Amino acid sequence: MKAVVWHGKHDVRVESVPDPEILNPRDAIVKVKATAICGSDLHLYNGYIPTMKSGDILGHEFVGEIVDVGSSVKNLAVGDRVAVPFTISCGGCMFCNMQLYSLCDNGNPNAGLAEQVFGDGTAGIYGYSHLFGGYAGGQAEYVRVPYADVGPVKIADGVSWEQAVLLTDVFPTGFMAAEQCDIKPGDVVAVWGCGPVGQFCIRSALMLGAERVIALDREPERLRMAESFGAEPVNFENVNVVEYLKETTAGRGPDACIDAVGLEALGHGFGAVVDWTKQLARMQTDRPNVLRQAIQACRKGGVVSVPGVYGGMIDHLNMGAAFNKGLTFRMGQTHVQRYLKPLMDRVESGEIDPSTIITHRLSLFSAPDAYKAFRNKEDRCIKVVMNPEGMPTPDMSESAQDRRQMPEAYAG
Amino acid sequence: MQPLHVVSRQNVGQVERIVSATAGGLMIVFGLSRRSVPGAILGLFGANLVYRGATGYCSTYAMLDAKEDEADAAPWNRSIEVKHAVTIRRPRQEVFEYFRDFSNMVRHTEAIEQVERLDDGRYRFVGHWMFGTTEQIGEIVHEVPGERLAWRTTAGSDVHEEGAMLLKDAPGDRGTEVRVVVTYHPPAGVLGEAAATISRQSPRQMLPDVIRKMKSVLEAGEAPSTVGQTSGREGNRPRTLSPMRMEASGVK
Repeated sequence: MKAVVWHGKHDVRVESVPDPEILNPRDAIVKVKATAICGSDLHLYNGYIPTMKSGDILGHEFVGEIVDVGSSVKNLAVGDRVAVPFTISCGGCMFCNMQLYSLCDNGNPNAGLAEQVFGDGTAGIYGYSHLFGGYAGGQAEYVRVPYADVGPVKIADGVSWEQAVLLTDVFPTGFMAAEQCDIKPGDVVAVWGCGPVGQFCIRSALMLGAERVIALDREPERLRMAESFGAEPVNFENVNVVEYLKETTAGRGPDACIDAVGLEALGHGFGAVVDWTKQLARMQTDRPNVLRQAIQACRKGGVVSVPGVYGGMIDHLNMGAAFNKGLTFRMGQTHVQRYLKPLMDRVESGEIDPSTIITHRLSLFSAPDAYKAFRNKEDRCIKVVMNPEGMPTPDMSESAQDRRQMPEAYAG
Repeated sequence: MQPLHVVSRQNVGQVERIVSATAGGLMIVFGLSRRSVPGAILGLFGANLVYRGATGYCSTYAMLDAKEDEADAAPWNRSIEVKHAVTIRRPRQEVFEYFRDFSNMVRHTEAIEQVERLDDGRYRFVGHWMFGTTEQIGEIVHEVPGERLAWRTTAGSDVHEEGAMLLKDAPGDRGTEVRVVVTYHPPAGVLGEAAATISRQSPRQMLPDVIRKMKSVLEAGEAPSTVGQTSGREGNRPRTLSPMRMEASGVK
């Protein structure tokens, strides 16, 4: 099969690799129908994440058809259309039982490594470094899905592949971030970063009853998209963010602040905000600028919700402000299994169409170009979804020039 | 055989004594040959090292009380104690029964390839450790069902160890608290342990993995694994793909 293979910083290639096989009784093999590039994939692309090995297959956002199941998988059958959570969780440990799936004890074969770094092992993640299990990812024609009897959710008939692929990470991630804000009537929510996750934070916060959502970014197309979803767009380059937020809330500060950027500007499922943080990093030596602003701006007793990824130590965080203002911090990798089905119901009922954030529909074959475009925000790129079925075969190699076109069948 | 413990003023290990005496001697010779104040100081320092090497007593160590414990056993006879604790979300009795059946070891211990049940409570393990195949005969020496289990290796084992597992109900519905302690006697004592550590095969390194996998088998029915999965690494490429097909499909 063909797969997107990581070989080093800024070096991803589409290569032929062996097809995946069932390795454990609870495994399934999925024929991928749509796969997306996540903002956090750019972290790998830019070479920030340690424990990547040349030859690793990327991708943790994918949907597809079941083509094989292990002997213990009774709830899925060949031909089922499924959406697969990016977190690999067993369903049997204390954390899965508490619905804290991303904290699963048994999803990561390299948990010992994670214990050394974080003090504890957490769930596995497809195609996301050996620290998170070293699993082969889903930017491929086929992928092995462990614990298939608890992870994948059957896709409802009325939900398309590309709607479903956004339910495997970015929509649940944005939703969980908004849910963590405990939104009450009249609440004002500020969202830093308007990449894919930020967009879903905005939409979810409004869905959960926020009175106003203030969206902070500097990319015009991202601010326009945020505005189209009902947020008040603010270009952070034109204002003093903390002063602006105090002023616009008449001194109270936003009731909840969402950091959809993260330390390395690689918020989970977060896109081209990479450059934004790089810019900030040049202005100040330390990078958790969003977190610092959020702490200063947040209303006393408010919530700082962090879907953006943090990887290690941060300096000069005003803990005194957080303490004396009585702030609540809520964060973590998304417990996708908890949100996938309820959110799919909302998509099926027509309450929300997540696919409106997709700006680029490409063949998997163009992954190297797509990574580059997403990273550099070329061509107003916000969200890339790729189709492995658009892969050229030897018989149709001349069609390589048409590879940016999506087969029509894909949209359905 | 363990040497008898002799109460003495010695607090410097054998190897260190030899090194100390040799280095001290060299410093005396070098220091005196300088015929200078710093040379004399160096010579005095060397004399202290020689004294320390000859008597096996170091006043600095005595003040720090650092080497008292380690001097108890000769380095080549020293045993290593390894402990690990984990909470498994399964009933105590189930954890006990799974663990008591040592034939389950192959499911969660990479180093063990084969387990043969000799009779109730006695098992023969064949595995690989360090540089070759190892064989161990293990027997259960004490058990309180659902609570505790102790075992040891017997004659005919290549590596000797004793171990115990203690079980306790975790608070709430959190399952069972499992505590395992293993004392093993590496061949050549600290040297064997050092070699095992370098090759990442010290029980100190392996026990947490073994216990973690046991937990996975009990909680999830299987241990997570990526062994044998596909990748784009050399040696894992499909050999059937001809250069022509690779070129045609745009593969570099």
